[in-house]
Amino acid sequence: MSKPISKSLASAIALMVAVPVALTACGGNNNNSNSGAAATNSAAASNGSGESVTLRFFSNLPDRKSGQGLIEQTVIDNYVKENPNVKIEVEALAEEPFKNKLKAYMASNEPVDVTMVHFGAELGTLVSAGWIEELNPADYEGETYNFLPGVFKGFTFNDKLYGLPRNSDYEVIYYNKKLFADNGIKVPTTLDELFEASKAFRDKGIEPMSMNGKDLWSMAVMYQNIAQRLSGDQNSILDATAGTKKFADDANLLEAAKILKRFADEKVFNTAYMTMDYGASQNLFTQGKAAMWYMGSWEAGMASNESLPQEFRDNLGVIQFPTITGGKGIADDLIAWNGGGYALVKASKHPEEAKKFFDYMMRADQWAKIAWDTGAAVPAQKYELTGNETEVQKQLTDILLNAASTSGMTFNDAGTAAFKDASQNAVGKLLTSGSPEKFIEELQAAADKQ
Amino acid sequence: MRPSRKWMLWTFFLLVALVQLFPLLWLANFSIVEASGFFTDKILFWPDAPQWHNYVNAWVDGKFPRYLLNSVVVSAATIILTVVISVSMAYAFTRMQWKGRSVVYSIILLGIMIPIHATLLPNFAIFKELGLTNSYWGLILPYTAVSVPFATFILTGFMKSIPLAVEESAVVDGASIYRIVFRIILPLTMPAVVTVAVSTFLTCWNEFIMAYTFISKDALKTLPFSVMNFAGQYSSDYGSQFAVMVLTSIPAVIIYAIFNEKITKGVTAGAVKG
Repeated sequence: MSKPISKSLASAIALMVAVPVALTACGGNNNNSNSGAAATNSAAASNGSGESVTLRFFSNLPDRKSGQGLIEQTVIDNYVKENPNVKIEVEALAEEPFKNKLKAYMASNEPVDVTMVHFGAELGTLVSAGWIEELNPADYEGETYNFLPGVFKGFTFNDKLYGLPRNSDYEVIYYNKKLFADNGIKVPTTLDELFEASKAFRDKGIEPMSMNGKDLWSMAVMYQNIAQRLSGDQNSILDATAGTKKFADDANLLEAAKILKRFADEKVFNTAYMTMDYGASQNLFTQGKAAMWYMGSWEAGMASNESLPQEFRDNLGVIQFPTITGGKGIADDLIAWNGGGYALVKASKHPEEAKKFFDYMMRADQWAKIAWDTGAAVPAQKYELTGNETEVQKQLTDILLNAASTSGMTFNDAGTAAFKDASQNAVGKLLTSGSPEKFIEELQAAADKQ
Repeated sequence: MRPSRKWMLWTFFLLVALVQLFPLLWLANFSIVEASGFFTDKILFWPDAPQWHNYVNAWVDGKFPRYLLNSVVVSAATIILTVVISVSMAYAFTRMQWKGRSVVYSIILLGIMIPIHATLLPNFAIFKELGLTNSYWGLILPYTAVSVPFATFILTGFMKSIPLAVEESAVVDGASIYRIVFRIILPLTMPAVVTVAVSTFLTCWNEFIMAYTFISKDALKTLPFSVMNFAGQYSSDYGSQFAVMVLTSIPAVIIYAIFNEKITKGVTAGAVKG
């Protein structure tokens, strides 16, 4: 009995171990021939173009069939069509895995050619590790690129530019027109009206404002928004983060913390908002269960997203964050930044080809135009209105073009990675159990540690 | 047994079964629900328009067949390696007398306590130097390394309970050490080996952190990558993701069902023999 078993087992072992050996053997050969080809490629590239080149592109958009992933893929396809000698290998991972692997690539000086980067603290880490190639800002002036003024702020370190932004991000409040109209509630323009409106919604059993509390950053940005509406000063909180002044120096920062806590105390946010991630909070809003959603301009695509209910899309509206009575900030002041972007990698094996592709991608008629046409994002470059825009896109454009001032950064992203963690956790604590005074102390402690 | 007690027992078991099966039912149900149907108040419902094309998405856009093959290769090789190594080691720890035996055993067991996150970056650097990234071995080796300590622990405990008399008679008959380990000990420890194999399988099948760190080539990606092909930066195609998860869980459920029975059989058989 034991004999046949062990015999078949032995052969099974042999087979199972042999399979990956055989497969890796092939893989190994491939790798060798690839690196061999790469070597000849770079030699050929320096002699002149025409030889085939494979560029490595690292992205945080794994879904290549919709949204921003589709824009990215379209640009890549366009480039490959015009340059048949170039092949672009896309490696895409979702947000968290992307960030982890980016660190691994950085630590091991991986020869990726073009990578997606996040502005501020995260790009700062990559830059100080010497992994990112410096760019010449003069190359990106003029009509071909048409970047809006001030968009390089989060990509500039020690006055040197290390990446180009792909989107204009700014915070607005999306709202459901039907829910406001049906319940006879006024769309708020001041903070007091917002609190009144949310009380009225609560009485009707409707969630006033959906909030992705679990992600924390949304509430941190809201805190900055409130502080700006009070002080009318975009730089106060950023200066405090940078350490040129103290958080306690500006009384508005403490006052803003008190107001943000009121949002929680008066139940403006949806029930159990602290457990909601991005998708969950979005769904609450798109299902018509919440009247408002505090979110960024990158959600412009909601209005044309056919997987959302038609009734919702018809009733989607955008308003600016409300003003505060007695505050110095006006509705046209915008908390705006340029979060995502692309950068060239120093370790690239084909630096010239990589830069050619990079420059092509960032042209105003590529990423910016396609992004605007598909409605999946608001680009960081000037774009022509096509006339086919949705109402939401038009409203968002108006808000951006009429902006009286922009922050350029979000304070939680303006420091180190550790500051981002600490400040966002402090916001979470403030809303759940902490006191505003303690909150300011914690922000100060986090800023001092940088 | 009185009918009333029997009835109660059945109700109890059915309830337990329901609790166990509910997540799978829910998963299968929501894999055919349209995107707007998520986050409704209903728990289980038949959608007005079942989205069967989610499965087509999963199969084509999720590159399911390719990733499935990779997962099978990696899991199978890992299981074989883990079993061979840990059976050999467990035998050395329980039956052989050698210097430093307890020290080495403790060192192996320390492996259970090492969090894989801590080893990611150094491993990535080492694998890159050795050319192991973007190869099956880049997954098989770390998976085996993670599984062996626990497997050795289980098998050592099990082997201690096997009476020495069996091996004595084998030695008297002139069996070599390999013959003893793989012909006599291995069949006797089958229940423990199956337990180890199943737990190793589940670990490999679902592992993602090491997979995305060590693998960049599309041709080598394993099943968990498939789910991610439907994740956007801000919104995700939940329906297709659920379809991928249903497809991914089918092999796991089948394997678990088959071997689960074997575990029970092995354990009871051993118990009767004493």
